[in-house]
Amino acid sequence: MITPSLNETARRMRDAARGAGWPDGIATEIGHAAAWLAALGADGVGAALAAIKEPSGPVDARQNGDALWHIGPAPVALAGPAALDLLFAGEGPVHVTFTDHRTLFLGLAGWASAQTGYRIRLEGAITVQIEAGHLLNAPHTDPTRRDLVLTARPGLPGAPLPCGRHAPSPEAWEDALQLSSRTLVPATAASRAFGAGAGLGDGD
Amino acid sequence: MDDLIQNSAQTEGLRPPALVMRLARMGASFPTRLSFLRVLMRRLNEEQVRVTRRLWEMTPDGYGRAVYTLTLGGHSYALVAFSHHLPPEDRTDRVIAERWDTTYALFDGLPTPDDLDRLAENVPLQEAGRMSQRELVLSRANRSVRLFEHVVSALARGNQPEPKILDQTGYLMRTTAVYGNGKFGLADRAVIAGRPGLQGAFQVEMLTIWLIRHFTHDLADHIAHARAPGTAVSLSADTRRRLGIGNATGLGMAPFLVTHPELIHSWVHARETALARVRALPRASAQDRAVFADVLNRAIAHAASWSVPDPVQMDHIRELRTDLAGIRALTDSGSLHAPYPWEGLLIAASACGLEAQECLNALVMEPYGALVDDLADEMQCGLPMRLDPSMRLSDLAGIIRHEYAWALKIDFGQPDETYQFWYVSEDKSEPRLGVRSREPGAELETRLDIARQVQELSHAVHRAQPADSVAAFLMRHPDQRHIVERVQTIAAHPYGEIRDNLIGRACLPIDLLRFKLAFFGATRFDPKSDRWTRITLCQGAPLAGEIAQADPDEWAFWAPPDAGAA
Repeated sequence: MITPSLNETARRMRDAARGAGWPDGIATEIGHAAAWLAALGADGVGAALAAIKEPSGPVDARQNGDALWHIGPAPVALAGPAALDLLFAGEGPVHVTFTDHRTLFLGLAGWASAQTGYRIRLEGAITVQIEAGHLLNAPHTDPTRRDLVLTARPGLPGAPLPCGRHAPSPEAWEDALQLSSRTLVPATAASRAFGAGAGLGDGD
Repeated sequence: MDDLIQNSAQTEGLRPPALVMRLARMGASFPTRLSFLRVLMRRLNEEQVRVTRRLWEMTPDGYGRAVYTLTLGGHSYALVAFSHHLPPEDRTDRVIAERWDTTYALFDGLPTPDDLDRLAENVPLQEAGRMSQRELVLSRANRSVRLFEHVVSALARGNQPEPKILDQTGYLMRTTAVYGNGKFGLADRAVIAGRPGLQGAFQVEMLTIWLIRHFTHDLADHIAHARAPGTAVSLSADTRRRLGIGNATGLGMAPFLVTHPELIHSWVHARETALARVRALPRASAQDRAVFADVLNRAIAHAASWSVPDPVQMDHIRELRTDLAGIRALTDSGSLHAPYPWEGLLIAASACGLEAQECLNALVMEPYGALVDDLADEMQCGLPMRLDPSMRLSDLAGIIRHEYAWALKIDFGQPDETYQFWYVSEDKSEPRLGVRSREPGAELETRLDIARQVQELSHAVHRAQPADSVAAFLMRHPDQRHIVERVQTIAAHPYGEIRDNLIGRACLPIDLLRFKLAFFGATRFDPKSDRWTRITLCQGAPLAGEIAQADPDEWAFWAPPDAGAA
């Protein structure tokens, strides 16, 4: 069983997302979210893989005559960053509904909190508070719900982020490798000979 | 006083990114006081570091393992080295190699016998092995075959190797990769971020390089003594100093420069700030002038001893030699006695070639360690900046106009502007460059086409409502998230963007490599193609046995003692 570093986790899941067809910016968020979860000892690879495999779809936001924004239902890979964008744009509390998997959203919110130093509160399918990338309480999940409400406010400067690791299942890690390998260009003799700008041997 | 004030007003401060971050100038970069190896040498000296060889298990032919340890910032580190037999047909500097003459790990702490056994099973495999959080760096090096054998043979006969032959290569081995930051299971950089002794950029990697150099010297000594116990001598300290550590570098470095804009900004901003501080000095003391004259002479000798087979680079070196001679004539005439002497000198040198301009920028910092060395601690960054979703599109368009005017001018309808594409091969994930019109794989290109992406973003922004927020825009255009974040990042970190088209026919990746390698402290750039170079690190640097006493800065622009200074 492999226990990848956080950097390996972020890169592998980013590339897996790219390989599955998600845009670069979304893939990068997914990679960081997976690593943030892994740093806490959670299965970030599994959460990211589930999100990556969801079909894409349009995301829209609307207000129903009040201050609350509503997003979704939409896949977490798109609805997650969109909800966090609205939140950090100062547009007020956001209610987001995911089509299926939502565990990755904890990672997306955790990473966003780490980057901004904000305290983010999630309430619904996942209930937790995160400040400057640190959990303030144990996350509570409600398996009957696919939605949650997000609020945020500036937080206190945080200590360095955790550097733990999580060993994903060998199948999930291999699955991610297969997806990420879709971003690689098949090898040819000409590419091997000329693509790197150096010869094949160095006998001097 | 009036003359000082008047001239001070003419000082423009930091050089603009539009001047500094162009490929041609980046490709003329030289190491400075702030280069990472220089920073490390000063730190090792300040801390009076002593290197101990804890283990040496080698066959007479030089195959086996060794461990070197030291304490830095209150933490112990160990270089664990393995030396292997390598058939000639397997010797390649490329990433596609699967075997090497020597392999290394920098261990965090003092390794136990169990650690060493685990490392012995994994380090020689490099990318195919697995490291742990106890290892900080993974590396490998191949012998410079001709020089290594020459050195061993000479020592075995009881002689020091021929200086002229030494100087043709300058190192016994070339590293072909120095991995850190979590690669292959290594410790993430966050584990050591902020650790005393390792502030700044790439310090564990540079420490590894410096220790590998020491190991290569010991290995040559060992084989010579085993070969001829009755006659062999050891490498003299002078010869050891003359031998640095080589490195062969390809395209892998280039994407790093594009994908780490905040970090690159921090490096360049520190260097440019240092340069601005020096330019703003109203006077140069006699001591300052003497230090400068000494390092200028060394740079002249350095250039005189720097010869490469590549005709383009050799032309640059010849121009550099001429320009440096002209600069010396100017300073010999008393130009540094004038007010704002460094500003005046740099303005005068603006007529020189880019190599001389950038060389001089490095040289003028040398007398002023107390003024600029603190900037080395700024050459790092924290988490990447998050995009600002509240920004209005009109403001985003303004940033594009301001920071990317150069990109908006490129006509991507011209085939030459999209001539190349960067990609990662499934062949050991080696980074490569292809010609779009005749090679497969462009649909999988690595997105280093920043200028093209900015144009696409600009078009999309102009089709949207100027008052819309970035958040609303990205909800409709999630494919633009990456480039929006980058544009906003560059607004705050302008030195983080290379202001040239990286997929155009005119792009020479070698310029990117030299830029990054100069920040590491590399010298003697020896291009083997437009995308591959060899370099030398640590040549002339203090040895492991003398770092506590040596002047840690005296090796800047090192040249062989007998190199011409005229």
